[in-house]
Amino acid sequence: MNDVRHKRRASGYLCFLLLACVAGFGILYSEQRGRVDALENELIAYRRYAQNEAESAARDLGDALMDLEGNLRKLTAAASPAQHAKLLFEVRRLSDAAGGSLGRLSVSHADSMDLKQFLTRTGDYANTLLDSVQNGVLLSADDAAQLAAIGTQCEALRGALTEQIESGSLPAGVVSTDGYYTEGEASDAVPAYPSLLYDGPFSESSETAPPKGLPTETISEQQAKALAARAFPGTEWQYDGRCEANIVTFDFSGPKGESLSVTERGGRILYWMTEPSGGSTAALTDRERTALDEAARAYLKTAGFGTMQLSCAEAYAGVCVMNYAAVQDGVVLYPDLVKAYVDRATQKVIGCDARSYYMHHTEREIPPFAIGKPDALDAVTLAMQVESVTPCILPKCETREIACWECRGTVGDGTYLVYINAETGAEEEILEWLYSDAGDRVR
Amino acid sequence: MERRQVRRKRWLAGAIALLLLAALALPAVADAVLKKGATGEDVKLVQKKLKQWGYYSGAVDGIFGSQTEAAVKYFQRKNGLVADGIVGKKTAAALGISLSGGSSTATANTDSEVYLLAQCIHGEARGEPYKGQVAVGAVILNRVRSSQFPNTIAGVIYQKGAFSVVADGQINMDPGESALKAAKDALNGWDPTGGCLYYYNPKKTSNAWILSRPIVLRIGEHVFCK
Repeated sequence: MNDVRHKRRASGYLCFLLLACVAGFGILYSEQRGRVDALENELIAYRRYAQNEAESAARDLGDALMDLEGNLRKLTAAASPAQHAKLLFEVRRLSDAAGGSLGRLSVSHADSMDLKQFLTRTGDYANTLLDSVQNGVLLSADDAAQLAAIGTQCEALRGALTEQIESGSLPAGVVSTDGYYTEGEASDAVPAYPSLLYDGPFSESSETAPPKGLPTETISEQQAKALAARAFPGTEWQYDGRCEANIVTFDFSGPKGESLSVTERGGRILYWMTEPSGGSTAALTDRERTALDEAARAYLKTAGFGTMQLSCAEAYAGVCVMNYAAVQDGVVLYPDLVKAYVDRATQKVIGCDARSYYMHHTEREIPPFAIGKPDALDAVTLAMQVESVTPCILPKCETREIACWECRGTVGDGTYLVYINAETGAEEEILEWLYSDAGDRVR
Repeated sequence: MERRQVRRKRWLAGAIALLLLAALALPAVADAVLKKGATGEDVKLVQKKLKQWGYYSGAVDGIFGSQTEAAVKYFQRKNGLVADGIVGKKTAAALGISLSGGSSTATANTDSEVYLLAQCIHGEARGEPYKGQVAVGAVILNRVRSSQFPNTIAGVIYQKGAFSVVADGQINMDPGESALKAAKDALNGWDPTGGCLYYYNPKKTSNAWILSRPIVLRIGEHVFCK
């Protein structure tokens, strides 16, 4: 009798438990369903947002290309320097705007880089022409022909873009890292853009310029290794391989994290680095800076770099990086830079990077300074308290340099370097000198 | 006798349940978590993400207080997570970040560009030789200088599909001292690659386009090319 009662009670409990479970699962399912719906809605909203962003970017790019084309066409019809300058300024501005819109499109960097280069070079080219026009040089027939060719290219690009927008083939999703490198032949993926012949920071000639500061005769890997052993006796250098960059080097590494690169042309030490001993993170004082400068100068002299002038120094992670520019007949050569790394704790040089020096250094024919020092002083703003005036060579791009007077002085609480063109008297460049506890640098 | 047996069984069941709970709790202890009372860069990162997405309106000060906890709970509720106010692995993943798991180092005196560059170096090249870390930083800076890429560090790093660490959220990790120094060295002009614009790990890619680029040098696991 008792058994039957127990069984009934057990069955009752079981039924209740089952019902509770079903109800529980129902509530849980309903809650989860709600969350899934919310997430789906959010996903749809993000997709719509991405689609709108891509479409807006494509339309902005199309508008910029259309305006570029228009301004380039007008340039062929303009005659006065004032109108040329106005239109070239617009071309430069629109190239930047088009580049910005391109960056917002949902395409990978590999697929957009040729168009980006075309737009950057168009703006750079316009900027170079603008400089000339402002200095009284009129546009040549070659320049007019190049501008017309760019205009034609812009028109074709805008047409292709409009077609993509209208056919719905414009990508608007997430660019995954799996597919970020373009597949297939490059020639199929991107149209051919015209090469622009000019001298500017982004011109083709600038990006592929060969080194000027190295002899043409070459050395072998074995000779490079022997040179490394002679320069750093006691370090067991291991050969890492050839670096096939603009300056071809034989690269070595040491057992304590040391690195060394020897140039194939001429067998020069392009750079070497060793680990700092750690140490100071304190503010860089004038006294310490002077001591580090002495150590670096002594090294540079031994390494055969000739007369060098310290430009700026910055300390971090126990090291102070001292930047030196070569000096020829009292003229500072800013393209020919060497960086010396000095350990702050030991005040010993623990590294040196001479890439920029070997890339540019050569005995120059310093052009005559048509503008004298007093005229350069007259050219700077009256608001500046000039502290020093130094003749120098300033790089405009890899292939072009100009002679300038470097006027260093203060305006209010700021320190500035104003570069006056020694031929034309124009203000070529203004840099601000920034001081901090870590040292100084320019911007 | 029966009662004693029942009691022993209950005690055993309780002990097993406790053991099971402890076993389940162990991985949670091992994983990095952020909860009320925590401070540091990871907290700042969580606050920044929550603020960007409209879940948090307080200060991004690196202090996990009540307001941050409430925002985390709100975010968790909206994203189908257990609303416990604790940022563990799942919540961090939903926020698109990776927690460093340790106390974060001070980032004072490092400007945001250096820090961002260091974060990308850390994500892409931690475990590589130091020279390889500088090389990754140099590639990013070479892109900034190139006409084919955006002209800012952030523009290059966040360019679509350019770096896997941006896509998977590792970019948000604390970079540590080595990557910060590598970023500084790269910014100061040390370029072990001699102007390279790309790099890849040959063991991890089969992409024809990248494999067709002319190789300049190899450092550690990375091949650098033009």
